[in-house]
Formats: sequence, structure tokens, C-alpha cells
Amino acid sequence: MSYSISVALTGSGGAGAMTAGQILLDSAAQAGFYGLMTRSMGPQIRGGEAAALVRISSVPISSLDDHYDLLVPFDWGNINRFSAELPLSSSSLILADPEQGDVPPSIAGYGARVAALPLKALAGAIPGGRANMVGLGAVATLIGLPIASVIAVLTKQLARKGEEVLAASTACLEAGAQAAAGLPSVTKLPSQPHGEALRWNISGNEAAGLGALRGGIKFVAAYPITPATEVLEWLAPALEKTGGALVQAEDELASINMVIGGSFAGLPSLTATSGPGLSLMTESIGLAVASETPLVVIDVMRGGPSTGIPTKSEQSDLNIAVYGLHGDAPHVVVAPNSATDCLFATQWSVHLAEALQTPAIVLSDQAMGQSRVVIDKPAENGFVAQRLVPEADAPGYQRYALTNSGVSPMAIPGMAGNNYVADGLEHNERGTPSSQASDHLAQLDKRAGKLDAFDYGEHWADIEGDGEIAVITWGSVTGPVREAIGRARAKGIKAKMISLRLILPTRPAQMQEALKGVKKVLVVEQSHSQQFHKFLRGHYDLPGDVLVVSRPGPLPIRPAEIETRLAAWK
Amino acid sequence: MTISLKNLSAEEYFLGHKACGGCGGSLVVRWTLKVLGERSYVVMPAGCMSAVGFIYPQMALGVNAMISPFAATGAVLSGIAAAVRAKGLRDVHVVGFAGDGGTADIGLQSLSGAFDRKERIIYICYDNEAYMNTGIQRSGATPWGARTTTSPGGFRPSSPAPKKDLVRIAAAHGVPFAATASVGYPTDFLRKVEIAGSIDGPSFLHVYAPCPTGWACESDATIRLGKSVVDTGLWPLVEWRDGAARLNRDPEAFVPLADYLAMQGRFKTLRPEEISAMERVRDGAWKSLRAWVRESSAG
Repeated sequence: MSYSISVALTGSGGAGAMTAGQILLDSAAQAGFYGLMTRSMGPQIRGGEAAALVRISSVPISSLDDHYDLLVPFDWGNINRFSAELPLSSSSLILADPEQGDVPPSIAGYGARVAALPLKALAGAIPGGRANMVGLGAVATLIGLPIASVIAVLTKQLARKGEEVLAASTACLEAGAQAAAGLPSVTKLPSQPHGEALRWNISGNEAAGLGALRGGIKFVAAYPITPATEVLEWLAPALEKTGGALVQAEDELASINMVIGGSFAGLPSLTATSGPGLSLMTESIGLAVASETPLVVIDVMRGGPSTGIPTKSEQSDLNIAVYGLHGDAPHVVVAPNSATDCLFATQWSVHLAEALQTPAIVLSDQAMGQSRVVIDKPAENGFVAQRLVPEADAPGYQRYALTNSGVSPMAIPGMAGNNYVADGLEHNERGTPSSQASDHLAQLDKRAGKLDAFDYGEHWADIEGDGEIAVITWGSVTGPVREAIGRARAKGIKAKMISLRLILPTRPAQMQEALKGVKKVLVVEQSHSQQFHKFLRGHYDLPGDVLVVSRPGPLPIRPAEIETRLAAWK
Repeated sequence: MTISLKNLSAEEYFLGHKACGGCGGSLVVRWTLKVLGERSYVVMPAGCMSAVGFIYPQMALGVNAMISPFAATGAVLSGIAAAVRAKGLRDVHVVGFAGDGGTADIGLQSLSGAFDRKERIIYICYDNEAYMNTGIQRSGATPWGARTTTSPGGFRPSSPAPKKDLVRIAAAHGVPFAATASVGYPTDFLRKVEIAGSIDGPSFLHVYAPCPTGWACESDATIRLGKSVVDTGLWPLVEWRDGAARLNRDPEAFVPLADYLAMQGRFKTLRPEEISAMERVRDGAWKSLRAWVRESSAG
């Protein structure tokens, strides 16, 4: 028995791996477990390879495990393309359908146990039967997930498809469950799942959408791009219900500039994109910095550069998010560190953008954006959009007045007596274009100073644990880091995690405080050129002994890799 | 030689790709390259055809190609055309294939530039009426009333209106050749590709290309839809050549829309009165189209 179990369901597109994975996750939730499902796919919309990677746990999780306990391939087509993403151990079990041929070398090489399960033949014996449902029945039984939970989920999901479809699927599940009785055993889930509190079943992209709504976003303009599109698909109907609007633009230049227009006109506004779209938007984000127009850009990172790997994750847009704007252009960059945190991070970013009248970039990634998680209901946070606006007819209104906080009242067009021109040209306090050195310096100081002076509270980083070793990380890699530190602690190795949420502006004083007593630092990130490590080196003083675990996507960083480093350092 | 279905090349330059069953876009690329041949330099932006054409180990394209940024098909074509000119090559075709989103939305600016510079390029828009590769989002060429993932209840931005008229946008640039075509009328399509290949300047084809995955239609309905859309009058076959427009088919009466729409799940939310309104819009569009043909040929 273990606190978690990991199952990989794979097949060619259309084999039903994703459907089976989704039902498995939902069933685990139904039975009271926590869970996480990530997707691995090729770049095409249909017909490529697909894997549903499911981890079910009795405690909350935000990381994949080191290997899969169970691999269920519905066919072996294309498996070589992602066998590296399917680590197995000698105690893992592969349920192989003899009809699909031998286990390919790329999988057999892991040395896992193999058991024959004639998925197709069993499904074929049932009218309307499908191999993925047989597989699901076998998986549920092997890991000790009550088949009743799976049937409960199916009954709900297939309600509209009629009795026959449900009966066929149920029969397949039962056939799989029966067949499992004769199979070798695998690790089983604990029989007593954790509590019965209200759980959420949500993806990171949906959570980001919800965070946007809760933060007060009323206008969204965006252009479809993988893997960010679900943010829009979730927000479109949600905005309609809450009195907002979503416009699908003709490209990313239009999206970002519509958002600037919406915000200038007084509505908290947001767009969502991925790397190539962010590249197109950078000129206009500069306009938002110079004109002090609040807005939020969600970047769900994927493998780059260029089209790169659109369906898989990488933390390689850090540089463009931090340094991509021309000129001295201070802005906010916030990175959620899990699918769950996409809610808080986005909501907080809306608050920061509006309070500071600046663009805020939310750096999510495919791994958390397209992961579906079963979690405890997140705590409410009170962060909403609150923009400083002037009184109507305030005498001598100056849009870019130099104030103590650096934030100056932003008039909404139509407010009597408060007309101004929002401008990308450098300007004076009134907003009149100016190329004078003194105005340039004053406005640069204003725009940088307002970000530095702001109180970001404890949200700048998630700091957990204690010890002379600190692991500094960010984004979705936080999941495996957190798990590795927990495992190390159980073995008597103490380490502190510092997961940076506020990437910009930097918080050197707070970091110094967090690093007090730390003698060794491990930096963990998912980029080829160590973007995060170099960023840390550029902005923070790190103690002498620094080690970096850095790898490009799409292979996720696994807890054991970090745990091994920590153990070696003890 | 006039190319027809009988003497069409048996060579394949786009075969073995991973497109969905019944994909109209893949037919457009395959047929076009059969006409233009192996001395074709291809540009495709990130989109369906590039996603399904180069999945290792299947290299579906039998000619050299560059995958451009989404916004840049026209510009990359222009660069290639400049190089071809500089090297004095006359026996090559510089041809771009982009979807409706890559043409009518994000790629329109760069296409306009290429038209305006009178580059010797062939630009073919395979119109499957939404962003299909990213998962069926509405595009600037999505027809009124169609369901997409970003218009789940059916796309109704206003009262019914015709689609963006790409051929007349091209014609307004003064290009020597611009035409519509449909995969349901292959002979007409092949003839137009052949003309495009003979033009010393920019030519533009806007081709109706069904997408069973995105339209929720049967995968064997592609050609039937390609005929039906023309017969209903929703997709006029028209060509603009050297300053004069002409209709390739000018039916006296149109087939009612209902059967065409019923073949596609994406139009499921349309109400009868909306279908009648769409027919009125179609009739209005034809009036304008016939006037354009009359006036341009009179001039």
C-alpha cells in the first residue's frame, strides 16, 4: 500500500485513452481521493499519439510520480514517440493486449512485469463494447478503486447517450474487472480515502479563468493558441453570465490592443496566449507600461522557440516575460506554481495590474494549464480590481502626476474635466509628449518606483520547511520539488523550499531574509539555458554553494531526481 | 495543355499525411501540387496542413517547404519570390497554403503586402471555416450560425451576414487573378490552379474545404458538401482575371439551404426563421456579385 498510485493509459488518437483517463480521475474523486491527470499528445488535433497520465492519492498532490505503477496501452502505435515520458520500474505492470503484438523494445527496456489482457477480444464480445472501458475496469480493480465509483461516474456522463451505451460500457467495465482477478497484483490504494470534504475537479486553465473572473475581469480579447485556448473556452460563457464580454480577435496584435482599449475605457481586461502570441504582443505591452494602462496577459508556456512543441510544457518564456520589452519597462510577472495556484495567481495579478496601473504577465505552463486536478476547495482570497480614479472636475487634473506611491489617478474617458491622452510617447505629468531629460527620468522613476514601493505581502513566494539547504524554484516544477523535500524530510534530510511567485518586481530583501542560515542552494527549473538560474544570479545574492537541475521540456522533472541531489548533499 | 481529371499527374506530392478522414484541406494541397509539379516552393503557416504533413517519420510533402509564423505566409512567399527573381528562375512556382484563419484574420496584412508588391506568388486559402488545428475556434471566415468552441451556441454576432469576401478583397488590390473554388468541383479547381501557375504576378484562390472533425459531418460527405454549397448559392464559383469578374456557374435558382445545413452538426442550433434569413442574405449577396460582374466586364 502506498499513498498514491500512478496509471498511464496510452493509445493512438481515437483509442479512448483520454476518455478512460478522465473517467478514472473522476471516479477516484467520487471515491474520495485526490488526483492529477496530465495529458501527453502530439501536435495534431486528431489521430496522433495520446497518453492520459493519472495519479491518484490519499493526500493532496501537485506532481507526477517517478514512475507508473500500471501501463495500459490500447495499442502500441506511435508508442516510441513518448516512451521516454512513461518511466516504469521493475515492480510496474504492463497490461498488454496480445492482439496488439509484442511489447516494443522502448517499453520492454524498463524491465517491468507484463501481463496479457485481451482488451479488444473482451470488448468485441460485448455489443457496442470498447477496449478502453475494459481496460478501465481492469485498472480500477487492480488498484482497489471500487467499481461502483466508476459506474456512478459513467452513469452521470453517459446519461444523455441512452441506456444501451451505458449498459455496454458497464458490461465492459465488469468484464475488465473479472479479467483483473487473474492478473498479477500491483500496489493498491489505501482503503480509507482522505475525508469527505467538498472537492474541486478543475484544470489549471479553468482555474486561471476563474481567478480572472473573481479578480474582476470584465473584458477578454484573445486569439486561439495551444495550450491556452481552454482559458478562453472557459471564460466565454462565464463572462456572458457575469456581465462581461469575450471577443475573439483576428490575431494577437489585435487581442492585446483590444485589451488596452478596454482597459483605457475603464474595464479590467485580460488576454491569454502562449509563447508565439506573447512575442507578437510585446510592443503593445510596452505601450501599456508607458501609458500606465492596467492589463493582464496569461502566457501558458509550451516548448519553444517558434512553433516548438505546442502540446507540451517548458519553462522557457521566462526571459521574454521578464526582458522582452524594449526600453526600461518595469512591469509585473507572476508565476502560479500549480494548477490550483492558477486561480490565486491570476486573481492576484488582476489586483496588482489594476492597483499599480501596469501590465501583469501570468506565466503558467502546459503542465499545469492542461492538467486536471482533484483538490480541496481553495481558500477564498479577497483580491479584486481596484483602480485609483480621480474625482470628476478635479482642478488641474494631471494623469501622470508624481505621487508618493507612484500611482496617479486614472480618469475614465467621459469624466467631466479629466480629459487626457494616453500615450506611448514619453510625456510629462499632464500627459503631453516630452523629450526632455527631466521628464523622462521623472516618469521612469515613477513607473519603476510604484512597483518597488508596493506591499506584496507574503505572496511573493511560497516558503516551506527549514534547513541549511534551500531549493529555489518556480512554476509547475514546484510540485516535484515539494514532494522531494517531503520525502527527504521523512529520511531526516532537512531542506527549505522557496518557490518564487512574484518574478517581477524582484524582492531582494525578502529573499535575503528567506536565505538566512542557508549554506547550499539547489535551483530547479525546466529550461535548456537555465533561464531561471541566470535570472536569480542577476537579481539575487545566492549563498556560495549553488547547484542547478535544469532540463528542457517536455520531460517533466520527477521528485526522485531532486531527492537524490538532496541526499547526495547531506 | 489543359489539365483535366483524365490527364492529371499520377505523381503524389502530398500523400501519407495524418489528416482526418474526409479532410478537404488535404485535397486542396494534393491536387494543387499535382498541377504545379515538383518545382514548387511551398509555404504553410502553423496550421492543419503543416501539423499533419510533417509528422516523423511520415514526410508527406514531396516538395520543399517552409513553415512560416502564422501571420506571415504572404511575407515569406514574398521573400522566396524575391530570391527566385534574383536567381533568374522562371520554371518554379512559389505557392502558399493557408487556412481561413491564417488568411482572413492574422495573415491578411502580410497577404495584402504581397498583393500590393505584385509578387509572382500563388496563394491558396483552404477554407474550413474555423481554426481547426487548435480545436475548432471561430475564425473571420466562420459562417453565420455555425457552432465552434468559442461560439458554442452558434456564431451570431449580428443579424445574418455573408462571409468576408476574400476574392473581392484580392481583386481590390488589382491582382491579375483571383477566384473561388470548391473541392466539390475539382475540374473547375484544377483549371484555376493551372491559370494561377501561368500568371506573372500574384494569384489568389479561395477554396471551400470541408472539415468533418470541426463541422460534425460524415467524413464521406466532403465532396457532396462541396457541390451542395455551390448549388445552394452559399459559395459562388467566380473568377477575377485582368480586371474583369465572371461567374463560372450562374444558376437561375438555388437549392434551398436546409439539406446542406442539416448535413452538418455545427448548424444544429439554427431555427427555421434564421435559415430563411440566411437565404435572404445569400440572395442579396448574389445581387451584389452579379452587379460586380456586370460592371467590371462592362468597364
